[in-house]
Amino acid sequence: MTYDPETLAARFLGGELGRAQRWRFERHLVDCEDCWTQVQAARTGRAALESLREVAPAHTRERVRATSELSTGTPTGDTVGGRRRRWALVPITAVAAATLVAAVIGLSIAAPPPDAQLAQVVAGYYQDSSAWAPAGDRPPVTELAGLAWVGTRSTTLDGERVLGHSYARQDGTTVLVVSSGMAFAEPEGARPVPDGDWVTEVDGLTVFCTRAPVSLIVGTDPDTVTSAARALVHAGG
Amino acid sequence: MRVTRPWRADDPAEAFLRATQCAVDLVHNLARRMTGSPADAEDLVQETYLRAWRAWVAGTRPKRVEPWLATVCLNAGRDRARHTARHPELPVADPDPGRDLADVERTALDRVRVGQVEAALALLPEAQRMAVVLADVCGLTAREVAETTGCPLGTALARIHRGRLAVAALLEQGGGARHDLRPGDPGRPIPRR
Repeated sequence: MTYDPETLAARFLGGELGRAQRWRFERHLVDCEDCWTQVQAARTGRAALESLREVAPAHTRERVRATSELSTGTPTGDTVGGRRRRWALVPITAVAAATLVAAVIGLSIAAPPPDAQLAQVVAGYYQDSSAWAPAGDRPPVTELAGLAWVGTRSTTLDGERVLGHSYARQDGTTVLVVSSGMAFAEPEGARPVPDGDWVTEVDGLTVFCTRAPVSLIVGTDPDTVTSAARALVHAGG
Repeated sequence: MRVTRPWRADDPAEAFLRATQCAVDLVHNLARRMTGSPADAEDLVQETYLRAWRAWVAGTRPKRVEPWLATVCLNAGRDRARHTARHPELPVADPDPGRDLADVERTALDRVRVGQVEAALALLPEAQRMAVVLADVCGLTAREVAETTGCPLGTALARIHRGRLAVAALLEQGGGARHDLRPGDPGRPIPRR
């Protein structure tokens, strides 16, 4: 390898060094102050930039879905324009047709697919959606596996009011427990689990579904989510 | 189990959504950094998906949707900027109605830190800024950044690296908060003696 701390650090952090080159560079870092400084500073910058990551709000996802669903295969319209004009992209006839179809087909297709439910639950965890409103309800248990209840919000899924109880630990770990009177749809790729119905991962979150009580336990740390789910089941909801 | 609408494999809209929905966060993050407000970002996300949908209907099937949608978003954002005859506004930490609820549990320190990082990002040259946004905010690899921006891999690596260094230096000058390394960092060096 040619000695150029900047290039080496860039390729190292970009995953562009082969296994042997990476091993040699890691050994080299121990003694080379220039390369070490480059790597550490770049990591600091990267970590700072990663803190800007956001989850798209639920209404953005809904607009994305509407974009293709209502375009009915023949999208038209000027795509350059202001926000007010954007909705004019959707042909009025398409909107009317979609409304008519929805009215005819009715409740048989009214329920959103599992992914839409999960998206709303994920938005609830990240508190990224105005669809979730603060609620005065209290959870059946205020402590779950070392997590303390900190607040409750509510939203509507499939016309059913559901509650989202937030729990937090002092180290900042948070879990959202979404409780409903109806069972949650199982998404594709979900796996069965003991003490529960199924578990899946979405947007960096673990989602654990329990049958009794009917709840989704959501969090970033799989172990914490599992512990909270088991505590919830054993507490009987 | 509640009744849900069955997926229709032969529905092109459904197929498009299933292929591209995984990249909504990526497009949202890129749009947020290319526009001045959450509302403008939302418009850009929709415009990106509309353009992508048109291409999909015309037969485009990308190998990987993330770089493809990032490219579409970049082009749409540039077109918008040209159309309005001004550069994209610098990102600011303005309130998003959808994010107000986050204030309940988000600490003031976090918001200050995010504001500092956004300010540092805004000071980078355009090419560097887009490179680090694509790599670190949107999560693309260096190769995907090169593909998306149409530059050689070495150039993309250099832009990403220099952008990170510049952000770190600006935060250091501005008294920005220190950030921990993420767990499982690939290529994390062995501890120093």
